Amino acid sequence: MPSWNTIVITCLLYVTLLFCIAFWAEQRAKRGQFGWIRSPWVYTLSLSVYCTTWTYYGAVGSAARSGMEFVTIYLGPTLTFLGWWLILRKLVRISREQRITSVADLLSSRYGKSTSIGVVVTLIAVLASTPYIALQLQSLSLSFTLFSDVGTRPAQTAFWIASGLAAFTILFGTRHVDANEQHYGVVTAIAVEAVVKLVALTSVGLFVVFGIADGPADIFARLPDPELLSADVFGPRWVTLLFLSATAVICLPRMFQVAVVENVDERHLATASWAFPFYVFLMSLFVMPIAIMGMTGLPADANPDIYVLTVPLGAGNGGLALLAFLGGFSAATSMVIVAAIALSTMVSNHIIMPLWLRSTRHTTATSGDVRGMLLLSRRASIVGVLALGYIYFRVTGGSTSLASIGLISFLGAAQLFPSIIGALYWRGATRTGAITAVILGFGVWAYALFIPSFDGAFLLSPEVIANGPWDVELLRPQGLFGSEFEDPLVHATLWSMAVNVSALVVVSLLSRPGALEQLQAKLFVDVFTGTADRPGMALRRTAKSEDLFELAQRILGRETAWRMFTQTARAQGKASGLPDPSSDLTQRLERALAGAIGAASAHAMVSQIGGHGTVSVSELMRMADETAQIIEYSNRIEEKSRELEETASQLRHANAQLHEIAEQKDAFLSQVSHELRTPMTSVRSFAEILRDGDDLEPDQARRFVSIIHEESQRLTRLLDEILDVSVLENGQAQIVQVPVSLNATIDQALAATEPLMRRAGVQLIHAPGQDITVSADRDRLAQVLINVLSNAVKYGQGSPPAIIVQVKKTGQRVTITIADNGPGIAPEDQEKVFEKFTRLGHQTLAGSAGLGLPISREIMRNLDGDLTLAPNGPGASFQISLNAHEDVAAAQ
Amino acid sequence: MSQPEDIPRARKRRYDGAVILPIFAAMLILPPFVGLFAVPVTVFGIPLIVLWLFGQWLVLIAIARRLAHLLSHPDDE
Repeated sequence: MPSWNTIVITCLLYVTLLFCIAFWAEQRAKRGQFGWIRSPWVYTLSLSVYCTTWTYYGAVGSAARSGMEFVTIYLGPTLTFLGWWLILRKLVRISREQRITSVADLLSSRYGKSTSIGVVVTLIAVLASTPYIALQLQSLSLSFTLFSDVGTRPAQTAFWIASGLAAFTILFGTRHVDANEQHYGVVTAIAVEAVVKLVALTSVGLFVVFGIADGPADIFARLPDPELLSADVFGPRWVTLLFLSATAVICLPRMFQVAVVENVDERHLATASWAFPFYVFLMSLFVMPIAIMGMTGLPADANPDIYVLTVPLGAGNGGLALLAFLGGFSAATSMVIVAAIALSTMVSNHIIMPLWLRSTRHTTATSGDVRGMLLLSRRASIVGVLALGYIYFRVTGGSTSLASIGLISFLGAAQLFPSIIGALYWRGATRTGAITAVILGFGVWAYALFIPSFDGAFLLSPEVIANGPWDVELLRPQGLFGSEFEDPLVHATLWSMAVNVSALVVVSLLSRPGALEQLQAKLFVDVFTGTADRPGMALRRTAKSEDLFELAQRILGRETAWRMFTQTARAQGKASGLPDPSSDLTQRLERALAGAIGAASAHAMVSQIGGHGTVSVSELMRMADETAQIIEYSNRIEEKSRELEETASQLRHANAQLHEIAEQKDAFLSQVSHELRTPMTSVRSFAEILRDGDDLEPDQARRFVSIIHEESQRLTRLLDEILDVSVLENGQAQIVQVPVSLNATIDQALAATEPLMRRAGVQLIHAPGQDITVSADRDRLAQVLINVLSNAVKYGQGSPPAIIVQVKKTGQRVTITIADNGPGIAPEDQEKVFEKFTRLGHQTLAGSAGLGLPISREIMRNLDGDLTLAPNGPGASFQISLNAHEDVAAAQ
Repeated sequence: MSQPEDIPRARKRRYDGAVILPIFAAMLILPPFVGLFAVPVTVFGIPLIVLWLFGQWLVLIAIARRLAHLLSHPDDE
């Protein structure tokens, strides 16, 4: 028998070896020399963390008690891996695309990135795993005590083991806050431990079969009780155990960690799909022979759970016993290390970090702060998880109930299974449904299995377990609603799963998913129809060009993206189409995007499409930082560009005005020349007649001369008017505003137009009222009145023609209305009458250059009044408005 | 881009196989099939039920290995 010292030294050497391997693997990974660290074999071996001391030692014990039943614990995972195409492949793909870090993260991400479900799942995982970790500590300290020739205290041994494990886990599990939560060092060490486990158990098995016994036939001939191999085990418990162990491979936090999170390549799953079943096949091959040998070769009171150790010891093979011990040591350490990493990630990401971020929301956290905090919280969580396990071990004091704790733990973890399946395959599954399902299922688990497993020592008294609370038979923890099952595990599994699945389905159907939840649901359920090809094995690690192009186009704009991709395609020697998705293209794109959205975001976006790398909290903080800067910067640019735009629009407006004015000027000039030409032509032609016509009658000559005179007068008037317009329009007119009697001005204008009216036979309707003093330039106002009146005479032409002149005063405003009873002015011409050189119709009366109304309007506007055309009225009705003189208005 | 009808028949068969294998395996290792040979008969001294259980396990592993190879190398026929 190996001495206590040998055992301790072997363990220390073994642990040192593990440290070295883990360190070496970390270093290689850091240098990028992955080699076989990333091979499918390491992945497969790391899955062996499934085989804990509970299976390593316990399987033999189970075989000794219940025959072939132990096989279910290995057949379950075999089933799951044979069906890798259905569930695991999808889980791995989703986890990489969504950068999932734990089973809690998976459910949280799928159900709308919900914090609450992350917290619930984390708490449940910790609660369900703590007894399991305690079990490992117990087995380890038990096996140590077995070899101890001096008096040791199991509690002390367990304490040192727990501390050592915590140190190892902290060293290699939290070396860095890795973006993708992959721990090459730990995984490699676990793979080595898997080999040690297998070699140890197989060696013991071979020794038993061929060393002690004489081949397999001899072993089975020694079978003490043929009933052990009867068909009795293939009942409900068999099915339950298969189900639990099949789901455990996915739901146990440590299994999710190695199978999904630590997976670096989907293709490794294909290898593991047969290699892992083969591994567990080998692990179980010699279980039955060792059990038979233990039952027959050892004293009847020997504990079947440590036959693996006691059988070689009993046969006097100390070296083999030492190897067997190392195998058990490996099983325990690998389980505890991975479980601690998985649980600490969950506790840190879903409980500590949200709390910390919430508490520091108002202080600006630099990314260094976050990284430090992340590491600290991970390490604290590892210590916390192991401390919980140790405390549990001390409190329960190594009670025998721990033996069944493995399966209890399995059922606890299985409560996540319906929600995971819902997450992968049912788009209608909602957050509320999942939370309700997990909590209710977990409640039933605790009530019907976990708490009763203490045999009345914890929470529920033995009486309550036997008779139900308040003696209500229907609520008996192990016989709910009168259901009778021989086995509490089968009972609890059925009830908890029934409640869990119904809650998930019913509550999901009744509740409404949020927008993010719907989006995530689609991303999860349709993961293979999204970016990936059809479910072929075209499991490319790199991004697809189409996806990259889509991204580039969305951020850089279609043309730039197109130019960049075409250039890259040319450089790759492709005449047309998109370039190959080389790392060169990815880098180029990343750089280009970084210019637009910041390096961190660009990296996250491109690597998301590329399908590797995840965003860590620190990366997110950096992204947020950069984004904030960009937002501020772009805000400033936006403001600038808004100003520029305003200026530009003002300039555009001014330019348009100038353009219009230039056009008006051109039109005006051509009008003026045309207007001047007509009288000039008649002047010239009459002058030519006079010059050449010697035989002209003196009368005729005089008439011609008078025409020339009239025409030149008209010319002068025209030129005066043009001058007037330009002076008025430029605001250079000398117009004074003085108190003027309105009645006197109107009388003056009427007197001036009286001959015209009389000739046209116009009847004037005018009742001069009380005199109003207005503020105006008397001559100019008279000019306006004369102009409007003569227009009324010229164009009114009603039968009989009449002109109405009215004066109205409203407040400070005086309005003079001059209306005729003629045909009026068509609505479309109402604005035209104020344009220069406009004559309505074809009537041209001598002396009119079409400048009268524009001039009048300018005059009135210069007098702070206006000249408008009233829209109603049978004839044309012009309104002249102007201000009354203030002093007079005040006096009235 | 590749529509279901574009997948070659051989590859489609493999996908189907990958789905059917776990169902077939579950059928084998669940009652009543699993207990078919729980009879006190030995072959070469080994109880028939032990041979049956481990034998079908090994066969399932062999099929899974073949299938995994076919699925990982879609171009092999």
